[in-house]
Amino acid sequence: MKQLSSVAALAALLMLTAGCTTSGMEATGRPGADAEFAKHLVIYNEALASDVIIQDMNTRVTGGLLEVNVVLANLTGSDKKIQYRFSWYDDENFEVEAGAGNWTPLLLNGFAKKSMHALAPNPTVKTYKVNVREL
Amino acid sequence: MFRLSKPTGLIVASAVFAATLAGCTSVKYGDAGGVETTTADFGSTDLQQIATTMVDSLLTFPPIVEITAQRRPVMFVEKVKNKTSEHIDTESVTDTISSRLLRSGKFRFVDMNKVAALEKQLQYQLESGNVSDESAVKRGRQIGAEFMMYGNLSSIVKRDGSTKDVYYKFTLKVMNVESGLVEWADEKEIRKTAKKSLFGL
Repeated sequence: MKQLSSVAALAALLMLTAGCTTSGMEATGRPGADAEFAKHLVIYNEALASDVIIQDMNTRVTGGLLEVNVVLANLTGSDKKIQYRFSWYDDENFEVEAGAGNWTPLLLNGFAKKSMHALAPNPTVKTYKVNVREL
Repeated sequence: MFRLSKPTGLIVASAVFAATLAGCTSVKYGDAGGVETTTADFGSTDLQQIATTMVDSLLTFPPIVEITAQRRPVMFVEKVKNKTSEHIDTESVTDTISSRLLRSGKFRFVDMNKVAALEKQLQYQLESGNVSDESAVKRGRQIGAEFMMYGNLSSIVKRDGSTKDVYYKFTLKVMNVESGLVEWADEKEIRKTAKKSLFGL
């Protein structure tokens, strides 16, 4: 009997280590912050949506290109390992260079704020969104 | 010699079979721009972060903003030296940087890797007799590069037991070909730490 349970435990361990990794379901969340800021934030995780907000944002045009500085704040005491990506839109709300932007990893410590800076890829960009998801 | 009894042998075989079934292989398309953390070695996320930082820095540097306000200067890319211990395709990094600069509408590029191919095409148009005089391009009308882009990629790797710490530093500079002055330079630092744990859990 002892031998049998050892073998079963071994099998369970093997299955655990060899098994495939599955990712969780992503859900669109709504940040509870200033409406003007919130419309620029897209969070792909329901739990994260209530924890992370845009606290401040500033934009300016440099050499014809939209320059954005966004301050992201963690409302909880636990560290958040996230990744973010800026998406850019022209004056007709078409995404500019869709899919070309890359995700950047970011560690947002408990109750910390971090600023993210980005420059639009070309002068046609008029507005932007910050996409956030768990790392 | 250790021998398993018949029922135990059967159980072991079943366990191995179950483990084989559990270790399935699946192929799926991923997000090319997603964060990649497979190992601490130089990866796609590092390349993309370097390119984004360098392009943003160059395009917002006040003297460069002033230069590119009225015209699109011509630049050529000199090789970025790989001073790390890894095999890294630095041309891929400069390709991404030059593509983004080109698409920004602020710079134009001459490709020094294609000079031989261009010369071959010129010879074909001008000397083969197959191309009409009206449509053949003229010699001596190419645009000379005003700026040269070049740089270095270096790394410091440290290991302590199961922990590996890698520090990358990418330096990029833009030099005025005529004056020899470095007009812009910036650095991007990346630190990555990898820890090996038991059973890969």
